[in-house]
Amino acid sequence: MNLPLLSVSWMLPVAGAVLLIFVPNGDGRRNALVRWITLVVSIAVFAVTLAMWAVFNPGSAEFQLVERRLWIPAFGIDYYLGVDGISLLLVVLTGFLTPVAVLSSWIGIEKKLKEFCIFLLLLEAAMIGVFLSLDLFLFYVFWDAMLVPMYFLIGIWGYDQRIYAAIKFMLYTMAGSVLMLVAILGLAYLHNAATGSYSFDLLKLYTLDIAPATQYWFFLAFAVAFAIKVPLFPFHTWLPDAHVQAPTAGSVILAGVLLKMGTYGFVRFAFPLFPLAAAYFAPWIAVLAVIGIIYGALVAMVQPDMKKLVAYSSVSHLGFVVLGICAMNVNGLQGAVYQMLAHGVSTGGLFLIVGMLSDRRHTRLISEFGGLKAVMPRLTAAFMIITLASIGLPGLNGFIGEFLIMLGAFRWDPRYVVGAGLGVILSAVYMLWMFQRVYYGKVTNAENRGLPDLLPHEWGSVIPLCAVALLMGVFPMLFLKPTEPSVTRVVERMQNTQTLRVENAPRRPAPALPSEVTR
Amino acid sequence: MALALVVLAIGSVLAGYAGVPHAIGGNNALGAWLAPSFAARSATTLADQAVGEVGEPGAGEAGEAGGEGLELSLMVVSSIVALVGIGLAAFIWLKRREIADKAAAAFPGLYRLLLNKYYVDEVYDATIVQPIRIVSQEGLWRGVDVQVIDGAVNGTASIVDGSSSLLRRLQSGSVRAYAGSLFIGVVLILGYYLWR
Amino acid sequence: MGAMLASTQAIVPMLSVTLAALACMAAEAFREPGERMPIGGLGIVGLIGAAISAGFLWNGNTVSFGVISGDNFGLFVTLVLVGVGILTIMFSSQVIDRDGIPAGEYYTLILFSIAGMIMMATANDLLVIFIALEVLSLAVYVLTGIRREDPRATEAAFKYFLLGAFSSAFFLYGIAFTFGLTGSTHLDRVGSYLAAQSLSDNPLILVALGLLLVGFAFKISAVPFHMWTPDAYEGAPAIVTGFMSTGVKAAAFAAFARVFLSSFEPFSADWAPIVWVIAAATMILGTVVGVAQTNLKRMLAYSSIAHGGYLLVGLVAANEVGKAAILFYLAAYAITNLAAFGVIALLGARDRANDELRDYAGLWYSHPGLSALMTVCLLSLGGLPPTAGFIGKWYIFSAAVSAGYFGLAIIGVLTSVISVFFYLRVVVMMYMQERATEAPPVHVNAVSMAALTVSIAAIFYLGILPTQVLDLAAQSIATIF
Repeated sequence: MNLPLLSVSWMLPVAGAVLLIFVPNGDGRRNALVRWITLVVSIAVFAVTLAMWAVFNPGSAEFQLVERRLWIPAFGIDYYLGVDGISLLLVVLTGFLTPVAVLSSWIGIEKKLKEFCIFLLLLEAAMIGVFLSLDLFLFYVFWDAMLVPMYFLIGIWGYDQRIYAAIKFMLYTMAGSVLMLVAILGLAYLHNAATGSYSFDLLKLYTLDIAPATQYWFFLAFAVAFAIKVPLFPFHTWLPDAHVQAPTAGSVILAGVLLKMGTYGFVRFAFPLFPLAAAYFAPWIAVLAVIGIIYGALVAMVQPDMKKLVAYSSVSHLGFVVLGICAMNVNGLQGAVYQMLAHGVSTGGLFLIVGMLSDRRHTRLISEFGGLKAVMPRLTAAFMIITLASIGLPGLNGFIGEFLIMLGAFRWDPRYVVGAGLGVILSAVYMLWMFQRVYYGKVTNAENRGLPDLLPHEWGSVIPLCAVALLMGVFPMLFLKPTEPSVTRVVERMQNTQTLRVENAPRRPAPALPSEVTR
Repeated sequence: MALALVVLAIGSVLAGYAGVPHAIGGNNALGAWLAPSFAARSATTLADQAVGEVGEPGAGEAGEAGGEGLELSLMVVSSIVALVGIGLAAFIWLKRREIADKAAAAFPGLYRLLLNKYYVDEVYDATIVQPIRIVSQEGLWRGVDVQVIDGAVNGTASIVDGSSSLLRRLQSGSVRAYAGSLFIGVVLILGYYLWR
Repeated sequence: MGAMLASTQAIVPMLSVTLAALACMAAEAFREPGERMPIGGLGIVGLIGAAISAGFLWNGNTVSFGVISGDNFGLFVTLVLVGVGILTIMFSSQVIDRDGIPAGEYYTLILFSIAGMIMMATANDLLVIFIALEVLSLAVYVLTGIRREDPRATEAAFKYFLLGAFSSAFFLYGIAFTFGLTGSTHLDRVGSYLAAQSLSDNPLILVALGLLLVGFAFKISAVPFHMWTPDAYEGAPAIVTGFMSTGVKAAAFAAFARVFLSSFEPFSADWAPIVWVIAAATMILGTVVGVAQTNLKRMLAYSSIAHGGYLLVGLVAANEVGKAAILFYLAAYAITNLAAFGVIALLGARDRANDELRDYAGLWYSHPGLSALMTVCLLSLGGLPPTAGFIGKWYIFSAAVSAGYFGLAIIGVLTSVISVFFYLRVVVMMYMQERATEAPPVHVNAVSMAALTVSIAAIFYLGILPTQVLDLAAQSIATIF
């Protein structure tokens, strides 16, 4: 099939949004039509992403389905899209989570539904565009463009402190990304100085030879932007506010996809473009990641608000991903990519179900609930599966990612794994404690007695999530295979600066591991 | 519940027959069945070390002979202790309850200690769980996260806000002040040039 | 005779606008009181004539009377000014009737001002620049105070006039020094004289530089010469403010670039550090004080100051990219700012300006289309993709980075983030607050709606497919620099 699948995947949601503009719904009478249109469009986009996966060649490390067109030739800016093993599954994740988000707001959003759906679809387009861009200018356009719909989603349909949270999210993220803009411009200028023509082509910029001092500054500029997005401790304080105040669909998308853009940025841009600087700063970033793992877990433990608890758990889990990236070996990086997907599914599920609870009772406080297992057994079961996936129970998706990351990190420097392992234990602590207080025990609050169990549209969003969590845990190779060649290539690119890496290696004797696991 | 216990009881009795030790005349079927794994293990260890310590099998044989006596005595002693304990507990519990009560009254501290399972749970709670919880809640969350980190973020915003309120006062509305500012600009520029 | 005719080609755009202005004056003189005449239409005809003639003159490099040069640079700015004029007249059509502004005088003044602006952008001689400056300024002073019954408008006009006269004096003094030192006020001759002789040990040339700088800096509202801007912008009618903030800035920047980047280019080592400091101060002050504002016109006044700062960054960079970036940024900024002020103008009433933040509360619920258009303008001013403002900022900052001015680039991007805060504050008001029950209804007539639609289309066009305009801008600087 000769369709330009990549362009279709981000233009289809935009077309859907434009279509919605012309649906007259000023008084809300056509809400059902708007919902179904949005759902159909988002499922169609998901189908397109699955088609991408189907035609993807998992044995190749090259970028596939490449589309390239001149855009602003005077500056070497092209409309340049491509997908490789790392970005493919992230795009599929985006396609998967958007219908889930649409379903989550099936009855929760009534006011100005049309605009809500328009922003949701525009957000999806921007997110897919970020993962597919191979031109730095195009990447930056999509990156900034993603801020606007999210800002509106939080600020209009959010909870009581939504305006503060929305502005905080917008300005904090933007402050990081504008520094990245200066670095991008600097890169183009360096390319001009080296070859006589401007270019924002990522693959060309990979081959640039950049002086170490310059590399350090540019890397920091990129790293700040991505660190804020991940979020890496201590740049994380926008996340609890944004997550708590966002509507359920917003939280699902924010946690499921938007946060991955930060980690993706590290893998695709910050580390490969500036390998020297990356090798130099990686230990520090890993330290921040491990602090984030433990800190996020401890603070999550004492939260009285369920959504904030899950928000801090995101900080903790994504610390794992960053640790895996910093390890810069195949295990660590594959684990990081896998964990990105797993976290998207499991945290998306967590926010989904917490949203269901808060929609029913209009409160998110743990103390308001209790003994819900007797009232809503099926919802409890779903939440249990998602919780176990999030904790990293073997058999569900969280385990594979965390294990690979810890394996990779151990091979790099065993000390980090101590903190990371502690994080695994703590994640069980806070999740299970929350689960116990909310679902087990007696029904302490009379208001909880009459709550309905899973409604049909909620089944529609919960079952796919649980199924994928199980699938990813039992058949990980399905998801690991496409990523392997690209991951290996990234690692090789980093290790080709091996000589300098040895100089910057942490000061410790090589660990005496038993015979190498050659698989 | 009782049915489960019955099943488990039957199983417990019968399971022992799988591995009756040589000491009391059995053929240790379970041990024989598992032996190859351990033999293979020690064979590879020998191969890895590349040393031919042939003393092992002989020592094993000798150990077995002397070991049987030890095994028998251990079996007998432990069985006796168990039976005595069961008998004592059955006697006190079924026949003479007041012995238990008197013992509890005579050694109240010890009784409480045993009743509360050596206070292990409470010790865990006090030394590990509560401190971590308090540190996380007051220190990490309310202290570091809200005040320090978020304080820095909101502080940056306050700085901009504060500067804004301060600087806006320069715009006084008086034309003479405006002209004055213009003149100051001229002076600065020309001064810079003339000074160079 | 033929030669004389040929040498008038470059002034045809200006002439077209002037004739339209005279026609408006005449029409107003012959109009019966109460009779409705499409005087604005005359203005639009004249402006379209100017645009068409500018198109014919493209790549022609003609010079008229030795002082007006029809080079691509001037023609690009002419086109921008024509666009500003047409949009202003379209937006004014509704405002004039509603606020009781005398139509004939208003359109005449607008057109004379545009004629002066075009002259300033295409002038090749310092004295002609000064004349053009006075022509456009006097018209703008009157326009600021055209609502005579409003004391704030009168105050604004008076302040602007006084301070403008003050700064023009400095400008004239600078021209005098330049003439005294180089023997000419013609830019080409000044430039070749300065390049040939080594006058760097003569302090007077630096004094001349400084004084000229002051004159230009006043017109573009650079710090510390910006004090008139908030009061003048707030007091004038919203549509006049829109006209002022875009047209005057475009003309002034065109002349500024022409003088400093061609004639005084040999002295760039002397004026660049000063302009660096002014640019940084302007960007910072414009955004920081803008944060505190609750009046929308005043807030956009400070935002205009900040945008002037960004343009100055392009001037400091002074390389090929910088010069073209200034042109593109002027075009993007002009359309965006004018559309934003157009919306503010449409929301006003005769007795109340309705330009406070709280007047915008809940606008989305009553006028979703208008709020959407305003949001696009605000996002473009903040520099968010995929709008024209983003491409403009990216272009300016890439000029700064290629010239090595990383510090200015970082100041620029960080102030952009701060500015997003107060732009979004309006969005918050419109979308996330409830509409006050006593809020006045908003009418938008067909002409204004057409103007808004054209502006938004242009903003997106420049934001998504900027190649053509970027190439046009790059071509424009090749001819004189």
